[in-house]
Amino acid sequence: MRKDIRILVVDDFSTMRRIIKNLLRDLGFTNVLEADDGKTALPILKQGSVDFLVTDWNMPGMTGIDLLKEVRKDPQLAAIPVLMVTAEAKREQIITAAQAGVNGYVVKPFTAAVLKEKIDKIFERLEG
Amino acid sequence: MSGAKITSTTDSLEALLQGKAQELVAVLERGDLPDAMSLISELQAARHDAFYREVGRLTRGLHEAIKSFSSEIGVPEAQRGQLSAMTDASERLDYVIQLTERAAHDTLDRVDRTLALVDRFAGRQDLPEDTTPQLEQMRGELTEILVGQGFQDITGQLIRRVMQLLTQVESQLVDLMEMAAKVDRLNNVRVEEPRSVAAPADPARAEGPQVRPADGAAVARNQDDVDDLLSSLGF
Repeated sequence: MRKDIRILVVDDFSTMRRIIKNLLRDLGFTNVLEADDGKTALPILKQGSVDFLVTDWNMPGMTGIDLLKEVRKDPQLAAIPVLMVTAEAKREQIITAAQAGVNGYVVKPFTAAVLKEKIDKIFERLEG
Repeated sequence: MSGAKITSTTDSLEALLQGKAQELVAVLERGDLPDAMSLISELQAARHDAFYREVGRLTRGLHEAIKSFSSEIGVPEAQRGQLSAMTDASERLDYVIQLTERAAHDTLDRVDRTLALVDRFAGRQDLPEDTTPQLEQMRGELTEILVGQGFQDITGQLIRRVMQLLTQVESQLVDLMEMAAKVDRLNNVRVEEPRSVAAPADPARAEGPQVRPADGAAVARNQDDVDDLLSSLGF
């Protein structure tokens, strides 16, 4: 797995962005951008240099699920793998995210091991 | 909003109903239908009246409870809007989010610095072999402390939900109060202004953490302030 890929982390809580960023750094990914909701994330994505998107669901402005749908709708962005990291844990929500084309789903609170495992899985599938 | 008051209203309504019912039986036995009809509508009016009175009183009671919460927590009279205690409650909750955010970032700063120290230590050539697993364990524990700060996100989301609920309750309560006032006017109910029951505030009463610690000299902002005050008192 290339470690120089560019990752965008979207969460309205700065604490959570920082936690995810640090865990990614532990995994060797240091090229990480941040946004605090879907609205600020979209223009960054449209600049075209993001290889992997990690997003929360419940955010003001534009939610993570809407962001995911926007990404899948846009031919330029549709192929970007998306990992959802969220406290939303209802079955229906998880199904909705899956149907919208999410690549992985991590429920908060999570452990470092779980986040790493899900990220590894996403890249394994993409490469395999 | 005492229970005794409510009982007395229902009691008087019951007495009224009983009286009218007996009258109704009497007029019916006399075969006086027009009188009977007017008694029935009087009964209905009495029921409506009692109901609206009750809603009005409960609403005013709730409003009073909120206003007195406002005065208890020391919101100045001039700033005390209709429902400012609700706003104050939201402000307090927002402050909880700010505090936990600051604390979580502070912890993350310390974890970052400690992890850097662990890395520097692990890079040394002269380490005994058995320290390597210990350093790994330290790194693992520090990472869990890092991830543990996610509590701030979870609690923050929950608190925001409660703040939304407060805002909703506030606006619906305003509607209810307006409606109750209108009904009072229509029914010609004169509302006696509730006497102020607030006892003079005890300045030493426990209030929990200060939400706006920067406000005024009445609040010590840190341990230095406390020490200064104590030493000025001869401690």
